Amino acid sequence: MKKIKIMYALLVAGLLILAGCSSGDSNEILVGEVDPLTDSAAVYGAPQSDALKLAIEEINDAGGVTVDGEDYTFKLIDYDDKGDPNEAVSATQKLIDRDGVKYILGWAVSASAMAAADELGNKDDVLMLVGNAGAQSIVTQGYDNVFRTRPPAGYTGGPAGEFVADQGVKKLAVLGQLEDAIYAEYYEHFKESFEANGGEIVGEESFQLSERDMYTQLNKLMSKNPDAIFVPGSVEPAAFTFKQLRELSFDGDIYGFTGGTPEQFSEVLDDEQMNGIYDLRPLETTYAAMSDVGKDYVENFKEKYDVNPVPSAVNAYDQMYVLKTAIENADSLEVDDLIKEINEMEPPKEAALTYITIDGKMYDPNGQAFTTNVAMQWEDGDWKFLEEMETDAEEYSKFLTEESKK
Amino acid sequence: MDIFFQLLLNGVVIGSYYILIALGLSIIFGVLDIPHFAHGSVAMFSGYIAYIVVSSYNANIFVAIIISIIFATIIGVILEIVAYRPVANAPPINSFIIALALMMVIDNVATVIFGSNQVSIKSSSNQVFNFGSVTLSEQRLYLLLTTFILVTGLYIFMKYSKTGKAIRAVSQNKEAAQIVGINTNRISSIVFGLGSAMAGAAGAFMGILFALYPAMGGHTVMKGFAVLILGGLGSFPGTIIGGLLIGITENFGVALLSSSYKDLFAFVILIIVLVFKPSGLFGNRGL
Repeated sequence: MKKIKIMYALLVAGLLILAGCSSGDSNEILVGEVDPLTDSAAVYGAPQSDALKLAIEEINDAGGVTVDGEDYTFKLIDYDDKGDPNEAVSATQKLIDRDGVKYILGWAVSASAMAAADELGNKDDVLMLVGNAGAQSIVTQGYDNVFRTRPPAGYTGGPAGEFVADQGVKKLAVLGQLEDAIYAEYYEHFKESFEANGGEIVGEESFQLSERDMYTQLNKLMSKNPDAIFVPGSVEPAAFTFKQLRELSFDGDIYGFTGGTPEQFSEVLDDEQMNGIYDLRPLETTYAAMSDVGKDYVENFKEKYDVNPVPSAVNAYDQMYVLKTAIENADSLEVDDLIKEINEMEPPKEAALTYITIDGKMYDPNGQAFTTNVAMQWEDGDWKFLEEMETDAEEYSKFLTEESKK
Repeated sequence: MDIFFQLLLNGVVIGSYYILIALGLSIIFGVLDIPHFAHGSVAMFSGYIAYIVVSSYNANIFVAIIISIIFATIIGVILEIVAYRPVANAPPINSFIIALALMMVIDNVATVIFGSNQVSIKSSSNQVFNFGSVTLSEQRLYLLLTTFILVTGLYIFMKYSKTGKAIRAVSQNKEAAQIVGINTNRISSIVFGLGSAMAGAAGAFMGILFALYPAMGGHTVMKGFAVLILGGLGSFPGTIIGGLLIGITENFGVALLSSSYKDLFAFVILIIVLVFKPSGLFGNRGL
């Protein structure tokens, strides 16, 4: 009798564990998120988290997903990694081991995403859908279960370098967050392309994410009389760089790769100080260049949060629809089935961004999706869409494949 | 050569900010022996008050700076009465722990009230002055002038006023000061008020020149302590020279090497000085 009781207790415990692994309630699919929700990188992480919540709310309001005749809704469990790779890895482990999550989204910071990808890569029971983190190496490690919507920074850097050279800039000075992978990779391709088109880099200086006083670096660069200055970096230090360039009466063109919203820049600079500054970035939420679905996303985001979405936040929004579509198409919750489906899928019809498909598929063989790259210019309190920068997604995909073989 | 003078001026401007922070710490530590780690957080919180005054009421930045100073003074006095005075006669570790706890409390309250995003005080004072090829913005000029006025005013007050003399007496021998009839509790409050007023000015200028965010308090106070130790604990001239030296060293270090090591330069120069002068540049000279 005692043995039967023990067996019964073990059976119940086992069933409870199994239930916990697959979902919270029986009809809930748990989705994990790791993002910097506080600290410096929260300027990207918090809006990305909001975008993810918006997507989940939309999906659940529309009835969720049906798998094997059973209806499910999604439930989000989010953890704040503060942009710290160590915290990101612990949060990931908590999601998998304690919360029983199989699908992890978010990832606004490259260092965190890279650390977590190294931990999760090729695990057959976890799917990692990366949003904003732009470092190239996230998709060049050969991990089958890692997919990313945001194009790698270098993919935008090349066309941006050509664009700046086409504006007639001959001598360019660079001040940026050049020690961070995403900006370093962007700048590496930018420089190569700018110089190949006849430009000369007359000076390079860097700043840190937490730095706000750039006078010294700017004084040094301006002493070299550049035609223009290029500032690749997070919106906060970049905004102060722009402000201080204006204070120092720099009269050349100013180019950036920041992805900051009008609200974020308006916290630091006046409209007059921002006028004429360029931002050279992936399509993201470039309103004028977006599809109707994309415009709906922007409007819904504004309605829900009373603020414009940070451009890069859309990457996580689309990843949520990738997950939903993959589950529906595969009619399965198994990670293996979803990986197969994602590898073959076209962009979901609900995706806010317009993707350049590779062989008709949303993701290339490295798990990377591509959008166009755009040039924006500040005018009368907002970023105005100037033009699409010439971009070759297939070529860059081949480059990524070569890199992944190294 | 032009770039040399520009870097020197940049260093003096940043050094002025460090002086404002460190001078408050210096008089609090010099007189009361309290390592007031929440000093940077008081600066941060007061800076936010200046931000609200400018952004919500369109006030002039001078009005905002004055309100920030008044606010910091009041907060400083309240902290002294509520948090530090009860442990005035307890072992020093008690005030040390209270200082750390206050820093955390103020930072967290600021996060709850103001959010974790940075804010910047926008000013219409955007003129630029050129001295040959050396440039100085209007806002930076105001920082230099404010630091000069506050430092001179504090010096005159400490040197010549009756209260200033009483403060110096307490700093030299608290028991003897009590015996001759000085109300040491009142002096403690005045010292905290004066020291925090400096932090109020520093916080407002941090918001005008750069940015305010709740987590900045810890970094600010650390730099303040570096200046304080470099100049010599409790030394008035030492704090001024220490602030300028760290500001200038940081700027030349960034120009010659990299901004990655910006904070390192301050501590390298601190270590070098302490190796040769363990009590700091002007150690033991008093207020």
